Amino acid sequence: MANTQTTNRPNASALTSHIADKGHEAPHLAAAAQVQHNLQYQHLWTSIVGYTISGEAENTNTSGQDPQRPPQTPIALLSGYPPHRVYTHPDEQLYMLENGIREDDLEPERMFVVPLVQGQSWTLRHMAAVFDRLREFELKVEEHDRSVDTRTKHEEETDSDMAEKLARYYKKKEQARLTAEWGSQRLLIAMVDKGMGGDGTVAYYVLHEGEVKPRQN
Amino acid sequence: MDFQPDLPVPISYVSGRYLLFSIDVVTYLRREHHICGVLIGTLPQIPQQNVFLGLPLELMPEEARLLVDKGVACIVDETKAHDGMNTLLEEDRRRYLRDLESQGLHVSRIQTDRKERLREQTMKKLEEKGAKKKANASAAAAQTSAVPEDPTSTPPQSQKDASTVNLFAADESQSSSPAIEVSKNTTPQAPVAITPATSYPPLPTPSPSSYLSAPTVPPSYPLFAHLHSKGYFLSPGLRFGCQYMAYPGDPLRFHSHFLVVSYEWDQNIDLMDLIVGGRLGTGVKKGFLIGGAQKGIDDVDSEADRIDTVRAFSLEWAGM
Amino acid sequence: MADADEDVIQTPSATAVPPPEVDLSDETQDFRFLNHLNFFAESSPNIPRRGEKDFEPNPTEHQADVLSASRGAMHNALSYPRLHAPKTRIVAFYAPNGYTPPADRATPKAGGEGANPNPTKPAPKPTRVSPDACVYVPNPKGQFFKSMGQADPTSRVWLLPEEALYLIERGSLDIRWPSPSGSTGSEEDLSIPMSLQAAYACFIGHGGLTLERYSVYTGLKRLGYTLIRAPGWSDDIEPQESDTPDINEPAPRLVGPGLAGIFSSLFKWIHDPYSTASTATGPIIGTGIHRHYMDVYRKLAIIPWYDPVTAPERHPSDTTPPFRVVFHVYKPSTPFKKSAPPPPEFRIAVVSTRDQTTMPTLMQLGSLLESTPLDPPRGEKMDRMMYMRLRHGYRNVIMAVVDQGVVSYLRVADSAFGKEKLFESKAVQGHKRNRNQKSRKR
Repeated sequence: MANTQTTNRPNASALTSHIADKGHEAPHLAAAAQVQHNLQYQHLWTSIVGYTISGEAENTNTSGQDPQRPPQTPIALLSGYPPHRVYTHPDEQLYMLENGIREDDLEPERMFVVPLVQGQSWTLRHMAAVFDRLREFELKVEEHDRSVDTRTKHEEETDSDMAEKLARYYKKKEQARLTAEWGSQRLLIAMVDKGMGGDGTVAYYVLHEGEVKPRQN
Repeated sequence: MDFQPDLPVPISYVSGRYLLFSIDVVTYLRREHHICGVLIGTLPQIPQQNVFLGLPLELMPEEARLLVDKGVACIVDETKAHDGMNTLLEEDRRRYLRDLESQGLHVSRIQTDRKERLREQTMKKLEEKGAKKKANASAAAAQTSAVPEDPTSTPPQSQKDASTVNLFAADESQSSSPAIEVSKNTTPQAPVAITPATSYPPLPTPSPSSYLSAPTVPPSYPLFAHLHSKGYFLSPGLRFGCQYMAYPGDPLRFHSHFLVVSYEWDQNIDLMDLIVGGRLGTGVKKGFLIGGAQKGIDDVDSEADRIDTVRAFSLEWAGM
Repeated sequence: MADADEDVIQTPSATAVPPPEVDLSDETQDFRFLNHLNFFAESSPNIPRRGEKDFEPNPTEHQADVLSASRGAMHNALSYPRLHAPKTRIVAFYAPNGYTPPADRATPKAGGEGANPNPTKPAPKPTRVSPDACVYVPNPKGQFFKSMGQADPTSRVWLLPEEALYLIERGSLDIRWPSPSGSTGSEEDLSIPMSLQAAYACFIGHGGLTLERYSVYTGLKRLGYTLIRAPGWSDDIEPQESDTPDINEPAPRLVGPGLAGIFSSLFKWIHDPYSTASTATGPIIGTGIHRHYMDVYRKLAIIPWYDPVTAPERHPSDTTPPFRVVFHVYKPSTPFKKSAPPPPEFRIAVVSTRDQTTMPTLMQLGSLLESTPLDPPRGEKMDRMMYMRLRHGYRNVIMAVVDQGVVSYLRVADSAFGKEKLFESKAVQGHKRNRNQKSRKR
């Protein structure tokens, strides 16, 4: 990469070399590399792993096709641990408040991220495809976490009162996952504008499946 | 107390728009079917303002369609229906005019009664006040004569009393003369003329054979109907930068939860639109909701079949 | 990581406190606040303040009670009757076939010269009643007829459909159906009062009155404005033939300095390097002595710009409906004479979102603006403040966008950025810097 001619080109930026190092040629993977870099170094996420939901290239004529079938283009999917919770459903927040549970008391939570580039094809079909397979990737990544087992946090905390509270909370949370009481499946979409080379900004939005009432704070 | 109209209720089709003129129907549809429409008319009691508006109520074609598909409403070509005005029998005309006249008489009687009562009430109040003041004044006078230490306080007080008494007198003479006039007027009592809200009666209830077909709806209809079926109240949203506003309950009492925009299943969504919508929503503590039917209109027998295939997604700014 | 303005979004104080000017008509109003208005109250009441709303329904009885109270209040408010006391009652008659001149006169049939929709043009003396008028008032009295209606030779006042509908809706006019032709009794006897529903059925769709146009008309009337139809009211207006300068019209339309024409000149500039010969063959700023930055800047200004002053004025027929002025509007404070309306203070085009689902093209917007007269920024304040000048523009028009009964007003102005030579004003502005920065922040 470094140029050996008389006039030296400036060195590639950390981000550019990161994307180049990953050797990603496909645009969705290049975007994934950029978002991964941003999550890791700007937002201090940890244990980031990447997946791909493969497209159906032969699904050429989308109109009249089975709406459940995935789109033509592959979708990249990232997952990692944010340093703080990114999203808490209003009703979950209320429960925590009522039971004296602080966010710091809780186990960190994995969050999924779909990296997107301005101009790429993105439709309701794409979103449905991601959500339809999200559970599958959640289980996959749980398995991954168990095999790596880097996390030993919260082990020493043996305040029995709190432990009981938390146990109740986790039970409730599992139940709420099934009833969608504390919101349905959700993930982040990370949007990058690479027009004119881009400015490195990544905009993050929470995407919920279905109608999830907005947070009020 | 809750009024239950005969179904289907007629929706007036006027020059391509869907309107309601009966307050009972408006209240019923709002209460039972969560259809709010938009009030576009002038309230005769406060006609010079735009904050509170009155009948008619304009329905979106989506709202009209939903009600027709549910069998709750039918569409009546109101312009055509009013041709019936020319062929009204003389007998029906007379009867209708008699009805209106007796209503008008009733109203004018209520009005004079009310005036009378108001007058009596104020008279009574004034009398009471006057008696009280007089008593106070005499008491004060007694006090001053008994306790002459503070002579400066008495003159202004008595002066004030005098002036109020004078005012009362003027008041009484003023209020009594119009009262006499009123009672004079009331003896023959002219009926107040009324502009009715609807034309039924005198027009006969439109026959089912005259109903128009269900309204044509925009491609966003499945999402509209889907959200409505989930209990949301929907209203037009362009002013707020979207297609519909979705309220978790009656907009009379609740803030909206979502700014709604519909997409076709394979319609490309510009990411910038997601950011714009997400930001717009978050700025006003609302979610940005997008969605649409998985099936196109050509894949199904009727619009209703598409509604079950709708999928929706909500978007909020992540704060990072 | 949040930047400063994103933080602002999330702080409750920024959003919880309503901005100073809340447009109450934006939201569904709680009609409970109308409750204190008496059914037959004599004095005109004040508009109540807005009520508090909840975030979401909960199963409490309190909430249910408040809701049903609100609905009850709404029901009451909307049930208020339209009454005409004998003393103040104004009677009008519906004439479905429009104005017919009195039989004894030899005037041509209605729709002859009355068809001229241009109200400012002095029409032949006897009648100026519009062919769209369909209601007449035999004994016009009261304030309304100062700005509404057209008198015929028998001094009956004829109302346009929007005028009649506005008046009946506010409870100020008792319109009667025409009496049955074969009836034996006297005329007044069997004439049935027109209902509000009948008035909408008969007047909307009559003479070019759409519900959207009416919503704009009545909404502004309620606020006290005076509105009259503009020459562009009718969709199929004839292109003006009487004006001869039409001959050299087509040419300027293509390459002229119109808003759309700016592009052709831009392309010309790109494709024809010789038009800027000096820049094609050498540097923009040649060698020589430059005594002043001004000279340098002036030479740098090589990109052609659009000057609204030189744009040709267009006839309304050059515009594309709905991007066409249909109402002329006057402020409540402006003295208005029906017979000689002053130049309008606002020009309004009405757009229905269900018929027009896309933004206007540059061409449509350009011809809409060019169909309005030049209205350059004037006055001491405008001379002083550049951003006010830019905002005011050289031509302006208001677009009323009607979304299912909900009206949004947008002012579109033709700003002449090219006319503001920033480099020239810099020296003068030195001490005014603060003010300019303030307006820039908007």
